[in-house]
Amino acid sequence: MAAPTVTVSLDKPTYAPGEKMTLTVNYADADTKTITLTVVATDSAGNTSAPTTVNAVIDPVGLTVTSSPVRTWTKVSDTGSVAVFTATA
Amino acid sequence: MGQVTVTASTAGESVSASASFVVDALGPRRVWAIQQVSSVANLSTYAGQLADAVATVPAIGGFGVRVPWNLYTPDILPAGKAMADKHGRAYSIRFMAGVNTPTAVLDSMDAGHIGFSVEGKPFPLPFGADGVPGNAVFEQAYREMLTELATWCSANSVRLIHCSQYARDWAELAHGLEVRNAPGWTQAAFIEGHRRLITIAREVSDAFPGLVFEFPLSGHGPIGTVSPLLADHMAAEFGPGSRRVTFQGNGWAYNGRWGAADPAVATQMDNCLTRLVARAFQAIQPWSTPATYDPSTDPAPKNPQYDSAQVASALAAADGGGADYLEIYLPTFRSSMGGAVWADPLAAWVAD
Repeated sequence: MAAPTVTVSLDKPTYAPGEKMTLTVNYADADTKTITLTVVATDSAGNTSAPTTVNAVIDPVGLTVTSSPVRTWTKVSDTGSVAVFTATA
Repeated sequence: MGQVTVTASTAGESVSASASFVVDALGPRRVWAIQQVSSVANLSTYAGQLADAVATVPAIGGFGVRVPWNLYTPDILPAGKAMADKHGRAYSIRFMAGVNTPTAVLDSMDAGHIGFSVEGKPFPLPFGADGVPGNAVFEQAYREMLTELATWCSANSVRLIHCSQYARDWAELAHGLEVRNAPGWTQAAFIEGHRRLITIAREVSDAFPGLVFEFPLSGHGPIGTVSPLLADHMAAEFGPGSRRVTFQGNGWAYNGRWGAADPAVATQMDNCLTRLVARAFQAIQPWSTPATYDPSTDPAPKNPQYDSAQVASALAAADGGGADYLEIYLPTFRSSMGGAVWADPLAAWVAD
């Protein structure tokens, strides 16, 4: 089982108090696979629906952000491989 | 320096990555004009001097108010800021403990935590008669004071708080005979007691990451081996190179930074400069010479205005110490006191 990978970068090295900080997180997990489920509903009379599909990730990568000094980091986007967080300096 | 860490986890494994950052609450080089006051009414009497000073020396970037702790009232904060705002300058506040510690605080201490000046004035000690470092009553009052100041400063875009040491007459370290002869004194207890104030400031600062907390490391010695250790503790608490804490040498002049008459002591104090802590220097006294001064008839001014060469030497001493900001007493900048001698050199200094 491969470990997930993660790299982080801030948009600037130095901030003024109150300035917005933007953190970009690139992450992946070699073991993460997206599976496609096909669902067909059947009622008690035997009528069946048209099949529909849904994608799901088994054991997705979870991201936890902490900082010192403590700040509140808010996720503003996440593509599944790149997440962006912001906080106030 | 701050650090942000991201941990990526799956059910089976996790991995972390970090990035460092600096919140530069200190900002660029700045020159402060400082004035001690005793009340809002007293503060207001300096409005004209401040206007004259910033007109005479436009490089003045801030107005700092110093107040004895026992005379502090919260209305001094907005009153001083209003004066600074009027001239588009930053604002900062300093309180002085020592013999200026509020009577109610001193009255709450047991006798083993109180020293007396040669004049018989009580002041708090950073250790007890039992030799245990710290002074719980003082620490609690100190924490409350810092929290009050930090709360107001943070809400009003004021970035710099000058913290007092236990002190005696001013805000500086006091390690004279009145302290060393007190029951329970050891140098280790004296140092640890002061470390605890730095830790309190750091704990308060956690809720106010945009503020800078300053501690004077000069004072009444012997402190040559004490102050560098306190600088170490500042770096340990706030992080090496933090822009949220500074130490200050309050004996700055054309011939030195620490007010030490003995060059060997100055050399010891300069060990503070090797620490990864931001630093500032405060003029040891006001320098001013009335325009009406007539050397043929008047006695010599007590602390005469600097000439150009002395100004240059003072700024060289500040540069040699890696100063992030300077504090100079307001009267020094008055036009009638020869303040113009500072105008061009300070303009160049802040731009450097």
